[in-house]
Amino acid sequence: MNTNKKQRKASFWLVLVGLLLLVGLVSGGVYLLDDQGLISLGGEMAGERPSLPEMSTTADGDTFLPPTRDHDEAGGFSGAGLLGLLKTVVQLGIVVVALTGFQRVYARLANRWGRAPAI
Amino acid sequence: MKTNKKFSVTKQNLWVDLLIAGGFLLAAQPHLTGMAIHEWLSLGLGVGFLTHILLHWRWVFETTRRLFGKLAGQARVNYVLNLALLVAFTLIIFSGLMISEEVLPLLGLQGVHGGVWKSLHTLAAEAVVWLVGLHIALHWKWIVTNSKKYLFGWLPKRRQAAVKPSEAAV
Ligand code: HEM
Ligand code: HEM
Repeated sequence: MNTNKKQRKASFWLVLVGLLLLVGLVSGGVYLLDDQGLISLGGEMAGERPSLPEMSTTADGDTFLPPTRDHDEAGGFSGAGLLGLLKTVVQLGIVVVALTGFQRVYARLANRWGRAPAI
Repeated sequence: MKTNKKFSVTKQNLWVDLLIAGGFLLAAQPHLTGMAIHEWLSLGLGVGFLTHILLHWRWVFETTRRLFGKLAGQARVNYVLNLALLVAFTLIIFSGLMISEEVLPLLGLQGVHGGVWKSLHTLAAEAVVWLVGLHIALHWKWIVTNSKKYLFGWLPKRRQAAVKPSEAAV
């Protein structure tokens, strides 16, 4: 029991170190690929740091317009933000309903199939 | 001894689970909370996940040991999914830190604007919703049973009696 506990502790640190290693590998890999221009995840900015003033002018200009300005003025939350929350909840709900539904049907069928040979 | 009697590991797990579920729902809406709350809340959520994993560390350890031996199919499915969750959230939180506008500057560091880390952050955050959905769905029975017991135990028992026959029919 005691050695088991020790083992569990040791393996926790092992996993933590492994995770850090994974982060390092992924970041290193992504950086390298991006640097070589082999991936275009960053769009036009791939492989180079965007100059800040340029970024802020675009952000201040046409791109950063809140979608529901009149609602915002009325105070409270923005409708778009709440819609996002609803979207996430619906997504989670869909998965839960689909999977538990499938499990239920599967259990019923398995019950039938399981009985069939015995009859 | 007296405190031991009242203490329930399951109840503790339920509260931690509810907390990280709520935290996750909010963390996934940066436009609702604003960036400062998004970043600090998500970091706190990371601590919550660590607590969640530590509370199940025995399961992780034992399942890892038996992964290639004798193990129930459901545990194996859970294991793979949990691993995917772990990797996804590690990437999300790490890439989030890289594009941070609030936390990193406070430490005197400069995050990157846009680019690969932002894409990684957004993509992984979108994908992880489905993973979390599966994780919750696979523990749905546990959640319902223990919520009834520990959260809604004070409700009149009438309803429970009404539920039983239908459950028996299923
Ligand atoms: C929004 C996030 C999450 C929610 C709501 C959640 C919820 C749950 C629930 C309800 C359970 C079963 C009941 C229990 O014993 O506590 C559970 C078990 C577990 N969770 Fe999570 N969890 C989340 C994230 C994670 C993450 C990121 C990991 C990382 C690996 C993880 C790993 C585990 C493990 C190892 C178990 C126990 C083994 C199992 O039966 O799968 N969870 N979680
Ligand atoms: C559970 C953890 C997290 C989740 C689920 C999550 C989710 C998200 C989502 C959905 C977006 C919106 C992306 C978009 O609309 O393009 C976002 C943006 C962002 N997140 Fe996170 N995030 C998490 C953790 C973090 C952390 C720990 C930080 C930093 C400390 C962070 C910093 C940011 C920043 C700076 C943005 C804005 C990106 C931009 O639009 O330029 N996130 N996150």
